[in-house]
Amino acid sequence: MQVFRQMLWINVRRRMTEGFALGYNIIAPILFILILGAITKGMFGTEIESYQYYSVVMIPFCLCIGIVTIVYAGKDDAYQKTAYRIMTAPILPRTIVAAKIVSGMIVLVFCSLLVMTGAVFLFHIPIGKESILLVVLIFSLALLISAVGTFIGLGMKNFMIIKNIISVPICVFGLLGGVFFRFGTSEPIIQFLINCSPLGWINRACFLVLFDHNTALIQKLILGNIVVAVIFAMLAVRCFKKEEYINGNLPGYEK
Amino acid sequence: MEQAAKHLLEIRGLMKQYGNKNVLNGMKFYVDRGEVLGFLGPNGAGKSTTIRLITGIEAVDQGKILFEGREINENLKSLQQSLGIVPQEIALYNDLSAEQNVSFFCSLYGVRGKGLKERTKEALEFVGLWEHRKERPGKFSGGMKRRLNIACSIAHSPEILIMDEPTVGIDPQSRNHILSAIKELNRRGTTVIYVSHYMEEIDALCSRLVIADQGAVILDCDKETLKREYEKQGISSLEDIFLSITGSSLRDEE
Repeated sequence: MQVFRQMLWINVRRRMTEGFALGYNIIAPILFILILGAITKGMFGTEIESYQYYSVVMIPFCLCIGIVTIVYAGKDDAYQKTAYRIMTAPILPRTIVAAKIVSGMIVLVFCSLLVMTGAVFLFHIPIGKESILLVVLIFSLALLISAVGTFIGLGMKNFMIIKNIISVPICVFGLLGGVFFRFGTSEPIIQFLINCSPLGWINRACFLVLFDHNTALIQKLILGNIVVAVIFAMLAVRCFKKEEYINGNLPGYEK
Repeated sequence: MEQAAKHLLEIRGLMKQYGNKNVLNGMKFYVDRGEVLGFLGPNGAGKSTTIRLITGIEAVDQGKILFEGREINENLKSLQQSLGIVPQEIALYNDLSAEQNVSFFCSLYGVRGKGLKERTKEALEFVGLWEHRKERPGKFSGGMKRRLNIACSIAHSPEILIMDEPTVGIDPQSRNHILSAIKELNRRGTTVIYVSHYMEEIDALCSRLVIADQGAVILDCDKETLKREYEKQGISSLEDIFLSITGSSLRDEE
């Protein structure tokens, strides 16, 4: 446990100071909310303001984009050449994986909650007693993203390629989920695609909690996130390879 | 009943293959408690692979590694707890201070609290970096980084220290400091496996030499005995002895 705590501390500290997480999960959502909110001001009717809308949809989206940081973090020790030192210490691979996942989750949650708190006060997002579920959703989503990112970063050989392309499906899901602009359609194929977007479901659940006080969907999503996160965490431990962790397929590295 | 171990560390007939290439072909040697063993060999001799197998980073294809008489498969954590590795490459977090680096790597061995602070201080003082403890290694000179690299490996007081070319690319002053530190560590009881291509360092530090080539040990003997043997043939420097044993042809792979 002591070793886990130390690994966790070092990972959290490094993630918080390297700037990637702050850029993706604090600066990016604030900019998106302000810019898109300003562009679409007055276009959302009387029930909701544009800034409120983009605050709700942009935080989960940017949290998902944060996977790029987490994937990179998986290979960070290889970049620093410290992975060799860590692997020669009496540490279990699951401790390394757990520290990566939990630290990623902590950083993502911290950044997301910071933006969320600011948005609640600045844009008067209506929060009720059910809103605590939004915080739980952020936690579960951060856990899921961190577990998937760690699995890719630690376990996959082609992590550089994956890291570079992983934001594409997230942006597509975001588009279909109404992150950039709200749309509805009666076209069955488009409707099917919209329903395929996990971000669409997350956004729907958030709006249901905030504006209808309906918690049924968000509870299912939280449970789903946790289950999938646990599966990916187990996969990350199972797929952990010492040689890959130490050297990876870093540019310039040849076996 | 298990007998008392004859050697602290024993490598028995190690075989390792990458693809179709045999990297180790029955590597065999031992390390006794309290000695400084020079582990030498040209590129491609299998030194780094042997170290990776000893540290448990890679699995052995065939053969055995015994630590205190027990196979490391059943004893790996115990061996790792007793082992300090000074990697050839600088293995530090450049965005942490020297003190945080040493403290973190020492804590991976279960050292905590007051003991952790004391050992961190001792290690930094030992390599002459205590005054620079708050500075980040990114701003250090090559020699200071090498010394910090060593501090991170010795803070947990390992029983065996494996040093893989710890003095590459540094100035004579830092090299001299490092060599003196290794002698002091050994005087305090640390067993050292020293890997280097610098023969004058090997000559200054090691009491016994193991020379490997093409994945197997080709010579394992006391340094002074070896030097006496070759002096009869008019070869006096360790470098010439090494070349005489391993040949002068170029080795371009490891």
